[in-house]
Amino acid sequence: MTIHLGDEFGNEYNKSNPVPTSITGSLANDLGLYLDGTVIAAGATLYGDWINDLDWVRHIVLFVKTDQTCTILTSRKNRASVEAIANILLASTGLTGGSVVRFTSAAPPVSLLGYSAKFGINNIGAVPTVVAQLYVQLLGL
Amino acid sequence: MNDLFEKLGKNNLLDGDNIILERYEGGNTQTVNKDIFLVFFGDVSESPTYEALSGNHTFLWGDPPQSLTYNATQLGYQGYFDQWHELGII
Repeated sequence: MTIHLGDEFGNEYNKSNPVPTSITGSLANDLGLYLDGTVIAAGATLYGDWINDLDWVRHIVLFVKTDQTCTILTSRKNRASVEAIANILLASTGLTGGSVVRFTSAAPPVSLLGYSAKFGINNIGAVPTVVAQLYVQLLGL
Repeated sequence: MNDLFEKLGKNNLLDGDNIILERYEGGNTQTVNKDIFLVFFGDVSESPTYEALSGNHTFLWGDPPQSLTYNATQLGYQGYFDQWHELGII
């Protein structure tokens, strides 16, 4: 299965942070999420909806396009729908303009995401964003 | 400000420690943490009226912290305050 990248992010992805361009497996092994927030108030966070059954996730790749400094957050729930940990910081390294981030952690992503997770863009600028887009690719390999 | 938070809660605009600013199709939400909200608007916490919230606010923001003065429109909150005003929250 080919990983389909948003047009806005393709160039950055290929140029600075190469990742596998194809994987094999079921649909559950390759899930792309797209958040387009445009205006996010100062200090506010745009969250996507909860995504369930994420036990298979092994890699997270983030594609961020924003005009304000932002961080990327995730909240998680366990199988009992208890929100065990909120607002885990996935990326914060000067995410302005077009940024591509491959999330790395000593712990496997599945331990961060739990059973359910939602991803968000947090505008840490003092003025609203004009552009705020986040593409999250969850890979099972 | 606790009275405002209580009213937001009664209007289903609170999720834990977060104020729900907007709900979108597909389950997306825009929220702001109460503590962050207080950084911007805590200067009127004694009387968070529509007029007071809409005005200028001086706060410390950034790393290192800088003293900034912005109004609600510049911060991106005026539209939400307008909605709260229509709902009778403020």
